[in-house]
Amino acid sequence: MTFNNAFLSLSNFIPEIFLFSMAMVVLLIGITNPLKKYVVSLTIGSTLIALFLCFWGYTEETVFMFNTSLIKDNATEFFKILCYGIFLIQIIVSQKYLKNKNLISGEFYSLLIFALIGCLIIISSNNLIVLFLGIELSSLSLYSLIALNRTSLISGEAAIKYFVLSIIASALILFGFSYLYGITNSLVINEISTYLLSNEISNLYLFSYILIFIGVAFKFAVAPFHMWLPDVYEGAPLPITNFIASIPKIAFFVFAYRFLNDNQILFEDNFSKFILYLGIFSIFIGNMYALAQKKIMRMLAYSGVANSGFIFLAIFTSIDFNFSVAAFYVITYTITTVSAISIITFISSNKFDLVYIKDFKGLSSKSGLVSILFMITLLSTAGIPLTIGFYAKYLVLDALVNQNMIIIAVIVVLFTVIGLYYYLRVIWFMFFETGFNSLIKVNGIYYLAVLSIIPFSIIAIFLFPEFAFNYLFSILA
Amino acid sequence: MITMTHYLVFSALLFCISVAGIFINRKNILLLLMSIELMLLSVNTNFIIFSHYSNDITGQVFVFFILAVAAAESAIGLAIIVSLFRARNSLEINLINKLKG
Repeated sequence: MTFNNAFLSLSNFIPEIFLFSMAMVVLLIGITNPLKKYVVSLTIGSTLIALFLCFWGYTEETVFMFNTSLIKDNATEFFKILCYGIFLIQIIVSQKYLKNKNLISGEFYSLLIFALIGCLIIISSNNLIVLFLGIELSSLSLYSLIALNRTSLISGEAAIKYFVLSIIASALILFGFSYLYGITNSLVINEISTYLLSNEISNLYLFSYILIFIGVAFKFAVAPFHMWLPDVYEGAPLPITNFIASIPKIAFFVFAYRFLNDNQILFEDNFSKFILYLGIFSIFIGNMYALAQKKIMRMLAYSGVANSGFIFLAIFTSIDFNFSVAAFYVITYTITTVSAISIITFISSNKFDLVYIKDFKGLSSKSGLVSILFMITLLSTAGIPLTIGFYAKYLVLDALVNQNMIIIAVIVVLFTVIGLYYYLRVIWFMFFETGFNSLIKVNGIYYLAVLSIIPFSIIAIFLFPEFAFNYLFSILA
Repeated sequence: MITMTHYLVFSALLFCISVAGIFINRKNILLLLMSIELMLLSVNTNFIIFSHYSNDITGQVFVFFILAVAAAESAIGLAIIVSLFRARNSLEINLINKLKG
């Protein structure tokens, strides 16, 4: 009986186990001389195989693995496949940049795979110990990845800032966990969130949830806890920034979903107002600071702060709906950010690093396709119609209006309109100014094909948004 | 008589001291690492208290995992500090100000 259970658990966990062993193979191959040059293709190949295994092991019903410490259902499988897809695009696009910076090595790619596995474990965990180990596996790999560029002065600084603030976030989450364990006497997330069905809510329970969500706010970089984000975006190598901006956010969204789904605490006024005010404050701070930025990555970081605020607003609105509005926003935001940072990585891969916004001057005369792709991405982040960014923002505002929060919806729209300025400024530089740096070559049909996947899907999903939204609604029900 | 509340207040105080240590400290990065360790130890204290008073062993299992991860964390933190020291020959926090917008 026990043996059978263990076998079932292992067979449902094959993709992660495979990736884990391949991460160590990549590490080994990185130090053997004639095989060194296959590191990148091995990483891409093993991620593809893990993606295939994930499809192959797909089942409709919910499965609990390893004595209920891991869970596998429609939602986890969907978000895992999304993570694999984003990861593939990131490593394919960043090859040239890394070669130019002399960063391609076995340890780089194996740490990257470990960070991915950490995020996958966060997505599928149903136990506080496993969840904590997943958080730490992804963030420990990311600290070392940021600091890996040892010749750069700013990389080390970004690493130490990310290190300290990320550990504070983990410790806050853990402190919340310890109180939850004391109240409910259980480490299983299902039991913790359904505890309120049979018991009165206590102040300590509320306090521990607030501690945990301050930690989540640190990881999402929501406004009062956003100080690390611009520095890390600027200091880390661009492919790592791309990773930090996307995959951990998906993972922590699933974390929030697990803790709040079927939980009465969202109806508790103190907690839901806490989430709401964090969201509004974040939209305000993000848009205001982004106006003043001269560097493109810092601008994207502050726009990320504003978008995280929207994610918190969307989580707040899931009192009435289920989490599909928030999930739609998270997916929209992550894929557009990945597209934007991938395009910047691609342009920066020839000798010249794109740092300032004015470096975009006259990009359209150099390559029309790249500037159009970047324009679609920026318009989607800003929330202009014909892109899914518009539909995602519309869903959040619609849900707010349905809850009679009309004043808050108006304030949010005003800040978003102010924020439009800094996106349009980049587009102005690309199309209406001249003088692009002549050192830069933007060609390579292979890279351009990969880069255009996301902008095309941004427009394609906008044409059939109901389909995507209904799918999310069904998997998160 | 020392009750459970006393222990809980003790670990909450430890946590507050370590958070204050991170934010007040303006001198040396190594002190940050010590504050971080203290933070995780206060969490451990909490887990042990709850585990003891509810006769449930899983909390103590969690403590072992936290201890192991804290060791890994300080190892990586020291490695980052070494590479930072090589680059700028100083560990003062006031000098970590190259990243600005």
